[in-house]
Amino acid sequence: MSWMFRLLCLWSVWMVCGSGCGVLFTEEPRRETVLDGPIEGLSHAQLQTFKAGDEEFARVFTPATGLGPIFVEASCIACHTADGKGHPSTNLTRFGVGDPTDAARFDYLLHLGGPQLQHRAVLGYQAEKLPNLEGLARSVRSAPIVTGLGLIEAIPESEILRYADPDDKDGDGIRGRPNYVTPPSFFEPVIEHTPKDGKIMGRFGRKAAAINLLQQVAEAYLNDMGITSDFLMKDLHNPLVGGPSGDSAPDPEVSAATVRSVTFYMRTLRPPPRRDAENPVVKQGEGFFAQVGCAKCHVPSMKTGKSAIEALREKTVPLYSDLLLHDMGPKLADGYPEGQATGDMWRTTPLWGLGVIGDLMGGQPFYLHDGRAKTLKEAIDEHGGEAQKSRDRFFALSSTEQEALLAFLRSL
Amino acid sequence: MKLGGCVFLGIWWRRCFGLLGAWVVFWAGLDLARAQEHAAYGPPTSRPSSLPTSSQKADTPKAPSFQYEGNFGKKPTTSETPVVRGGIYDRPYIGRLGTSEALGGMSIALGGYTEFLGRYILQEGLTDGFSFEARRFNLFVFSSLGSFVRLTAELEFEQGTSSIALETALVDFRFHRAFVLRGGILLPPIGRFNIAHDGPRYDVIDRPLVSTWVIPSTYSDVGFGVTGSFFPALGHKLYYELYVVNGLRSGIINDSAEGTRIARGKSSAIFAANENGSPALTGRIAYAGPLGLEVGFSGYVGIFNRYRDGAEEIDRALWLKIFAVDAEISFGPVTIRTEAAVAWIDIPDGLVELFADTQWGIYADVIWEFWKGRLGFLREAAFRLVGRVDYVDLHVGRFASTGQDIGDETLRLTLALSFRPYEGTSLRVEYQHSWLTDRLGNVARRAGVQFGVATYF
Repeated sequence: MSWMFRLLCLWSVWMVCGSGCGVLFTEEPRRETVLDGPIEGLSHAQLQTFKAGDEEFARVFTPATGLGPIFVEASCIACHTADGKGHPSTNLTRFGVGDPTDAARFDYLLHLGGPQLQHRAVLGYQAEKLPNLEGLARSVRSAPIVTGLGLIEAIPESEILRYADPDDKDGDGIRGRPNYVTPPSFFEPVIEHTPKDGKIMGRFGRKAAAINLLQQVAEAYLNDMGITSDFLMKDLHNPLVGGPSGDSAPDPEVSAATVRSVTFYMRTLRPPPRRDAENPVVKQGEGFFAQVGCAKCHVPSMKTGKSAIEALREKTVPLYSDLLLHDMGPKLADGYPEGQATGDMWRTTPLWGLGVIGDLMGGQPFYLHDGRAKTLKEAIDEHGGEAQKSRDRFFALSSTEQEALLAFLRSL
Repeated sequence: MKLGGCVFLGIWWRRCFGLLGAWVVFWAGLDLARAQEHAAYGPPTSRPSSLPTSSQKADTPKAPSFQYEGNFGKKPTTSETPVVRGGIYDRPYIGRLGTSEALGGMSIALGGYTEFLGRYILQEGLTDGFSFEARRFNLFVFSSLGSFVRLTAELEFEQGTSSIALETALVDFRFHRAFVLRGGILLPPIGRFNIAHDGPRYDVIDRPLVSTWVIPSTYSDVGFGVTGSFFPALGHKLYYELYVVNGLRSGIINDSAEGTRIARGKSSAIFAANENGSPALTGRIAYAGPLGLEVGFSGYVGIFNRYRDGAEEIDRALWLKIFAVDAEISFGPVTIRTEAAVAWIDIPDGLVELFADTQWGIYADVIWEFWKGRLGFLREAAFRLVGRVDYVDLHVGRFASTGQDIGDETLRLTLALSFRPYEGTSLRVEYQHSWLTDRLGNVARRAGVQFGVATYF
């Protein structure tokens, strides 16, 4: 018996000691290594809404709850894993044919399932396929990081337009252009907008085609998951099949309240925290970042204006983007225009969160709009057009200087 | 399409009957004496293979014995030796079978088991705190309707009354111990755990991952088939079970939120009708021999989607195939138990990569009964230490876009200490640590402590 009790004691001691040990009982990841969590300063009621939106964001749809009948992914979180960037396996494709420099002369092939390919379908239904057309433009896109979006939304248009230079008046070769797009019928302004010819400046999406988060969320529900809402009631279907016969869920499949809670969640997700910001190499890299001209488009910070949410009001936003469109050269061109964005233009992608992308993709990051680059160097190498000079300057740096700049990027 | 369906059924039934015929010829040719069985397994008894022990008998009122008639002898015989250790006829309550005057002289036994637990689990350092769970309360009924017919049923209450299910309700027609015709709600013999899953049997609280994810234990279905056991040589025994059932349904994909989840193919509607009109086939063959060795091979094959509507074929038939191997062996106080399974699932073109077409998993228990004996008023108490390794890969494959392995895997280690005041009762405390890999390969750790009680009654 005595040895048995010794064994029991040993077991108990091990368990008790283990209770304080992260090895045995896991430990919380450091705040700066993850993207999720609410922005500071939310009230209890706002935190409750945030939590409700968080749950909806993670909700995975099935045919019984409205998925499809055609779709790209079955949940928000499938593309934005841990609120991060989309993996190439979750990329979506938009397509059409026509003049890539003018959206008005571009055919989005609505009769063939355009503008977005839903390459998946529920059981018993037929997924869409890309039409076999000559000159078909395909725009393959990864989902972007969704954190800090409320701060971006709260940036006044005037702040963004400060960096616009469509005629390149300063002669630096950088021409930031805003994308003015037609607002959807359910558009609700959350900041002051200044319409231009009935259009409003977009700031979300790879080509800044979405004006605000509500639009982004409602359209993603429909186009990415085949989920109808009070905002977009008509279900998707494969035009070659004729109707949404595979979807037996009554419309709307989610309520306006659900869409709004997810919108609130995205609006109040905290921005990605910096890592190693005080590291001398990182600081040195920050200098090179400005020196080679990256910061001309990847503007380090902007300021928010008014917002109904106090935590978003009058804040400095270290997003490293000007939220404007730029010609990125032939390597990145997709030939797919959206609004005033031509086939070779992309909105400057905010760089915050760049350093944790890989950690949320099983250790292998995938950069750029379609995840084609596995390293930051590869991503920089792909830059052309207005970014060509900066790209060349980067590769002209010594390897130590390049590493410093890359260390800075990884700290974002 | 109609022709295609007929051809399919024709081939299917021909194979089925061919297999049955082979079995019948086999056992008929091996009409080994029951004496052999006596020699191999000791004197005839109606007591389950391992539960309860003789000491337990002393603690409980003596159960009235029951008599079998007709083909199965004038007294309890080796035909009562359970076909499956830990299965529906290897439960302690059957030892209490008696004749009830109130039920018109019917031989009947009532029993069951219950299990509840408390847990404190953390995932990535975050926890919802401490929680209790009334996991299961199951009621058993066994009745012998004369010598030829016996019936058993199991009613399960999970988490209080949040889920109530008739897990088993079957009737056996015993022509011979080697040929029993079985029909009703039965447990398809995919692996051994599905047919021997009672909580008090095990010293680890949670069920094995492979037996709940790849094999959807507890999976009940309605159908019929044959089962039996025979003895090719002294000390060696063969079991078989072969059933035709309605089969798992399209929920494998349709009701699955996270990817292919075979357990989602279970549905209470399964007991009412076959979704697609094509029955599934499931069976297991097992060998038992010295050292408590038991090795089983089992499988399941069936169509899980509604691919036709009347005479019209409205979709491609999607097949689910599961193959499982299970084994158990004892060396003195140490028992090793394992089960592995692989599943192949037809995935429609529009869902490729989102849903897995192959899954597999394995678990292994090493059970060390390090102390057994009298402990105060308990005549035959025992302490066991159990180590378990669980692994499932619920999405075997690679991303076409990147060539990376698709994750959706779980590795779990469990270390448990179990105290058994009686063999049919287990008080256990365990520590478990899991590594949960999502589709993209991100690993989250989950760990914690659970304690619980599981007991037959």
